[in-house]
Amino acid sequence: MNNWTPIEHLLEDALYGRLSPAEEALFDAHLDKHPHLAHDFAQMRATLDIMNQREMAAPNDQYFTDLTENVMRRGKTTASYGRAQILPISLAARVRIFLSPSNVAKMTAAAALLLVGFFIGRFSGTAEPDGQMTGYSSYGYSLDRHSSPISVDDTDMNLEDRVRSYLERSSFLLMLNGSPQLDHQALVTCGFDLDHQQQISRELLVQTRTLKSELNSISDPQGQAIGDLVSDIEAYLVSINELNDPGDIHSLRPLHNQMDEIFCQVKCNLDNMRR
Amino acid sequence: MSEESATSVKANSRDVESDFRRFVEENRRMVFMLALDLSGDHADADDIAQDVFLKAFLSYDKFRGEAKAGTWLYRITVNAFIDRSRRKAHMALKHGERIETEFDHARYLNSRRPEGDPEDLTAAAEMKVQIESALDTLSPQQRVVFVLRHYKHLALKEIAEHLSISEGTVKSLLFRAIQRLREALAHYRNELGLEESA
Repeated sequence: MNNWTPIEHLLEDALYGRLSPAEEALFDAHLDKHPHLAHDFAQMRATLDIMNQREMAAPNDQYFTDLTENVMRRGKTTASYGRAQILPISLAARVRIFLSPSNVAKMTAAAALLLVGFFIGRFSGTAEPDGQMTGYSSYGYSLDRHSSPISVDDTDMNLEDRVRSYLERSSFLLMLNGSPQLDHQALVTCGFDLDHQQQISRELLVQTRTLKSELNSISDPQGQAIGDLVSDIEAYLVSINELNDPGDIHSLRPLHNQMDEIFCQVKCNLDNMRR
Repeated sequence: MSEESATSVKANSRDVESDFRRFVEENRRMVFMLALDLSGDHADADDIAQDVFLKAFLSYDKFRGEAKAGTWLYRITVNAFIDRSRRKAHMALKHGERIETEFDHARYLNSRRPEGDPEDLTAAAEMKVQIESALDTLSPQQRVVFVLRHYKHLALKEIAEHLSISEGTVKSLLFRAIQRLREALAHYRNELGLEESA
């Protein structure tokens, strides 16, 4: 039994010496009845006393002056790449920018990319003996955001199918996030929705943990390679979750590009395994 | 664009720039010291502080002049620290190496030769190592909660607000952090003679 329970709500205040006299009496009475708790409490206090000795030396004023200059310089450089809108832009100018030939080309490319992704996912499955297709739809998810493209009931699938399904869903997320041709404006135009991406990545993260533990128990090199990829994907998913602003999706590009290549190799291996 | 409107845009840009510079000057010490308390390392704190202000720069038009800018800065500093810790852990797992960053200690820390009894200095250095090693055993979230409570003296409610989590979660993270520190420092407490027999 956890004997802390009756006084648990007082523990934090007790450790930081903020109990009222009445609370202190109650707390002490409980510790008197349970000497092992008194021992634990004394150890916690001693630990905090040691932690109080931590001293972090603040840098001098020169550091803070340099920090300001570095920030201003980096800010201006970043803004000059178009990631920040420091200057007020009129509506007419926004429309002109929005409809500029380069943007129209980017939007078309983005739409085409999404369509290609959709059709690959929808129709590229292999025919099973009973005539069923093992494409995106057969794994139980679709591109409709309201039905969530990632919610999959995979309890009845074997490990290989779950890995395949997981990789396909992750590549779907990568495809949405990562075309290097898309700038911030184009992402906005395509209706890029960071909240939705983060929801997808959170659901995938839950499956990542299960898959990782299962893949770790496989000793062959192929299983380990897939395990490594799943770890990479996990880092990517965590990074997506940490983003505060859709424009920051570009900061994930190096990770994304590196993963794209491995992705193709692993998916080819999976196909070979299946054959 | 007419010459007049170009001049006005330029003037506005200068306004925003000087406004933001003032914002950095007002908050830089708070952000850096928070990052330093969280990471325990000057180079990491420097990187985190720069990233935080860069993010602030990119979103400055959204919160310019708002009273809650301080709270917002607090939150993105904490997030930047957690993000960095995860990346470091991932890199270390994958390549067995640490992310090394640069900080000019000689230039920025007014480093003077410490004075005092050599034995005391050795004991202080040992304590520093023990404390940082104990903090390294915490998860990023436990570490954030512990630092905010213990070194920044924030109330549990304030921590919950800063981190957008419930007060109960903060309490449980704090309790687990203290328990873990207690285990990590058991041997050292013994060495210092702070350990009582049960």
